[in-house]
Amino acid sequence: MAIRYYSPMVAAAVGFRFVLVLFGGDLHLASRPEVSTPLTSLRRLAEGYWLKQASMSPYSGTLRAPLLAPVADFSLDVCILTLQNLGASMLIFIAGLAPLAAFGYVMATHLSLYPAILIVPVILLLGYGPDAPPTKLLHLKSSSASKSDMSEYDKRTTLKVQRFSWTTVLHFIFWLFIWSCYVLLLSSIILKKVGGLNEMFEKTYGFILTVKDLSPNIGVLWYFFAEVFDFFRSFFLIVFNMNIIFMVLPLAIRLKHRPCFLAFVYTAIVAMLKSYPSAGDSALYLGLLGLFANELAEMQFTFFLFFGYIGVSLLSPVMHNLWIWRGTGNANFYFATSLAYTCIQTVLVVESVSSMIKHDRKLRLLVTS
Amino acid sequence: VVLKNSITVMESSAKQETQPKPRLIVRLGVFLASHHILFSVICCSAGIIALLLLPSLAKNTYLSENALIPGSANPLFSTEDAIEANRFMKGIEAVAGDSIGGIDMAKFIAQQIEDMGAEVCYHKFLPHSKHFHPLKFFTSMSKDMAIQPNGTDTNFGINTIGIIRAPRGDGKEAIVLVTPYNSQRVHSNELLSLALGFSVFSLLSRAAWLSKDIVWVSADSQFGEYASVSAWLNQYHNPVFLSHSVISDTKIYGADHIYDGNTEKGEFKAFKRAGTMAAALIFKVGQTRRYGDRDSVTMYAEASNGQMPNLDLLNVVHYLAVHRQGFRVNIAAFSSLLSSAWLRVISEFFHTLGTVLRKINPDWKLDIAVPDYVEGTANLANSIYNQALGVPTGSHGAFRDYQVDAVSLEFSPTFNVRNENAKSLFLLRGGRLVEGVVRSVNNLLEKFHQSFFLYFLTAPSKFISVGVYMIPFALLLAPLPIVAAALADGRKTMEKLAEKSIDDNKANGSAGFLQSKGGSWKWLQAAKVLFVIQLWAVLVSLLPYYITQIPGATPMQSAVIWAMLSIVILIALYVMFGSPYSAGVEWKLLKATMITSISIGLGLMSIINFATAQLGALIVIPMCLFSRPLKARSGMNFLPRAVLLASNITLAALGFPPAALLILKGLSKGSWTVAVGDFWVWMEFLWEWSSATYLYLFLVHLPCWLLCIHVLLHPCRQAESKMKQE
Repeated sequence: MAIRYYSPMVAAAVGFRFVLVLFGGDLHLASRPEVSTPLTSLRRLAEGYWLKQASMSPYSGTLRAPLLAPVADFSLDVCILTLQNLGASMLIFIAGLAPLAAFGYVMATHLSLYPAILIVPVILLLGYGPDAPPTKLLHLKSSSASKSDMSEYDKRTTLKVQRFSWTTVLHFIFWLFIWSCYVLLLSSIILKKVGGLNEMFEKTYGFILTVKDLSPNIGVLWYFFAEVFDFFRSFFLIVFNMNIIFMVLPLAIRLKHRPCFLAFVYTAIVAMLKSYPSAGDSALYLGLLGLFANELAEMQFTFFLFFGYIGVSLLSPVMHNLWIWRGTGNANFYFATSLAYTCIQTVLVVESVSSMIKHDRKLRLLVTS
Repeated sequence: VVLKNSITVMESSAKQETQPKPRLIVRLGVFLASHHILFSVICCSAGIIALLLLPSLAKNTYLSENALIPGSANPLFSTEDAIEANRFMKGIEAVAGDSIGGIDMAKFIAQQIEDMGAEVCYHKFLPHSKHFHPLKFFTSMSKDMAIQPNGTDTNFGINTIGIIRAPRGDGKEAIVLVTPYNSQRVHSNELLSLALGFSVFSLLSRAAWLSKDIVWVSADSQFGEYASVSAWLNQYHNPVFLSHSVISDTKIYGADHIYDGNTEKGEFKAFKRAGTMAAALIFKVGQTRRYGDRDSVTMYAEASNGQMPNLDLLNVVHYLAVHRQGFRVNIAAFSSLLSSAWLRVISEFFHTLGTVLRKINPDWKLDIAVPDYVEGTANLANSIYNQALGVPTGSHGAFRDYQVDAVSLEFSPTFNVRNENAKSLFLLRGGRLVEGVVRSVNNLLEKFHQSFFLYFLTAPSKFISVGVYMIPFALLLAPLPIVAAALADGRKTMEKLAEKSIDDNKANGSAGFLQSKGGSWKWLQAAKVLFVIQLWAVLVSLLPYYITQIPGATPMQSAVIWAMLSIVILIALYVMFGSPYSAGVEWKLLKATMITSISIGLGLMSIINFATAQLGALIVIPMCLFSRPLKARSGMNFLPRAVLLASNITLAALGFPPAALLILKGLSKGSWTVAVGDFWVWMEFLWEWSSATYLYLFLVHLPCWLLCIHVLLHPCRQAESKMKQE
């Protein structure tokens, strides 16, 4: 299906970015907690860059984003965000080409760690091909079709029923190995005199997993770990990190016939539960949502979700202002918006998954009747 | 885990889809939605009644912060200090007589401070130029660079700042005293306030108990009281680092002779600072009154965007003024309400209601006396009005921008200024009051945080806290989501019926469900209309900035240009994105979208500036709830329909911001005539003060009104054609 208004929309998006660059000074985007997290902050990047120039470890300052320092010289925090998301989105869209997909995967994981769980949808995508109704259903269809006369459409669908193609997956894993060796090699060359890979792992992935920076952001972990007693900290770190891992397998089993949708659900869950989320994370999965316009046509609460997102994104700066600048509010005010944001995301994930499952069930009913 | 559970729940519920059993909360929601008209009528009227009840719900103020202990020490301010003040006053009167441009007065004050042994410096500033900062609210106030006067300016003000370093303190905290005076037109009462400030300052310079630095600012208010203090605070909080050559270049023409005569005074030029400000007290002596038995003090507390200082500061002032120094304490009130007949009727009704309720339960103390209720309402109305306007009522507003609690006191003595004895007595009491407040704040170990920041005052010692005044607003807002859900849901059930009939015709065709795609996304069209109108609102709100660049335009011309341009922009946007009716948006969806957007807008505004949201809700919510296309078919008789139409049109007329402003002016000032240019002047006034009310009017109120007009003028063609199809 051709996308209507594609070029005007792209133009509008680019224009909006330009407006932000030109007139965004009053908004102080570079210091807004919604956009600038410890991982994406331009200031920290610049600090790391200058430390590196001065032959010191870029991680001896506050830099926590993995090794963009040697290459990056950007003008907006958003750029880093875009880069991090670009890896993930590249990964999903070009999954047809194993080498490129492997490159996207390695870069995304290198930059923000969490895309690592996308390995499941990528392998499914490479093995089975893009989203399709459940294979069981197609078998049913073909068996019923063999009894009656087959239409042109049915023939095509039966042709598409494929076995899991191991060769593509192996090809992908091979390239994955090559790219990760390559990236690690480059990193180690750059960091040879100033710390080395060990420090990089500790100061980046370690920093992401142990939630050391408790400055407010739109997630919920900062507040929780600011409140939690120190001797429970490690326990809850394990709990929160496992939370993401726990969901990988059940979802993969339930949605294995729809790898793209699975990737969408994973990115949404990661955006909800990651340690330093930003608005860019939701931009990624909301962008992917468009892929399933047909399947999710019957989704419930869309009106509520749409206005919920708008309301929360307006409420968050106001609450932040009340807490930080005016001093009449407190941390609970801002955390309330974070909580509302997480609730909305949860509703989105639950509703989209349930309507996708309903859609598949409807297909089955249609086929069997 | 939640997700996993919910997936399993969904799977199990999917099995039972044949006989769905909605949960209790869903059934409750459906029940409310089906009775949404009754529900909204009850909620709205309850909201208005609760609003009228607010004066009887006010509580007495109390001191939350134990460290303040006001009035526990005997005041040290003695008659000798009053004599000192008189001496200062004579001196400055002599100087003011032959002063040129007010510089000699600043010089005299500085000399006096120096003789006392305190540190002194001057602060030069320019009049505040008009700036349009629509987004200033979201950024910090302190990020502005201080504007330095340069060599070409001859029109500037000079603040004289004296600083006492506390003998017991570490220099990290300070208390600020401000006495405004107009250096160009000197009044005797302003000189009296300077004298009062000086005598308190000189007393404090000898105080051994001081643990916070004292800063005394005699603010040159020739460009307004706010401008001088705000310029000083700006420089205080934003140090400017200039190279030496630049500093010598930026000498002020005409100010040079301050430094010329005496080389050692060159050090006055360097800006001096004390610690973080704990609190600020602004006091001035107003015009003397002929009537009244006691000297009175009026407290002003409203800062920009409805922010208030911590209630504890007001409590301390009130306690010391009433119980120690015998002043009468007032707050500003709408005097027109005091004599209003209908308010008296309402108050008597509430009084009888309260007495009845009290007989039922002695704990319900709602039976407030009639005069108290009337006075409380007048004070409350003024409090709400000033907060809603978002413009500070004095120079204390400048302090609140830097999170410093501040209050303005205006003394209204009842004596003749020439009466020396009465003047000395007044100086003694005023000085003791200021000293007592300073002493209390001096005791503080932490920033003011114990008491309320969000409150309305109904009397100097009575307040309504946020928990109480939110109730009327919440009641007004409650029907909005229910009505939106009812509208969206009603549309859905209609559609389901239609779908069923289509399904019957097509007899289980495989295309059946594919055709219904986009069923739950139909509101996207309405959201697009909302988007276009919001875009228009943003553009229109930015227009005044460009219109003011036109040289020599009268307010009337500007207003007309603005109106024309906004209509042109609206038409252009419709040409670009398609008019709202061409896409065939159902009016119910449009109304649901409007109601949702207004509930978000009002909710946001209630956090930014509650009073604005409260007043806005009173106008907007009935307008939204009533709105319904004039052409819509209904099974009603002629009379109810005519009433509905008439109320629709009146509410829409009332909702138009200029009309609302006119009514507000009529109610507050009693004059109903207005010129077109006045609207422009009001608008300019709001944005000059970077009031969030400006943003509310343009980004929430105006688009809502426009959407409402769209709903009213909806052609309803679609519904008719659908009915024909069926």
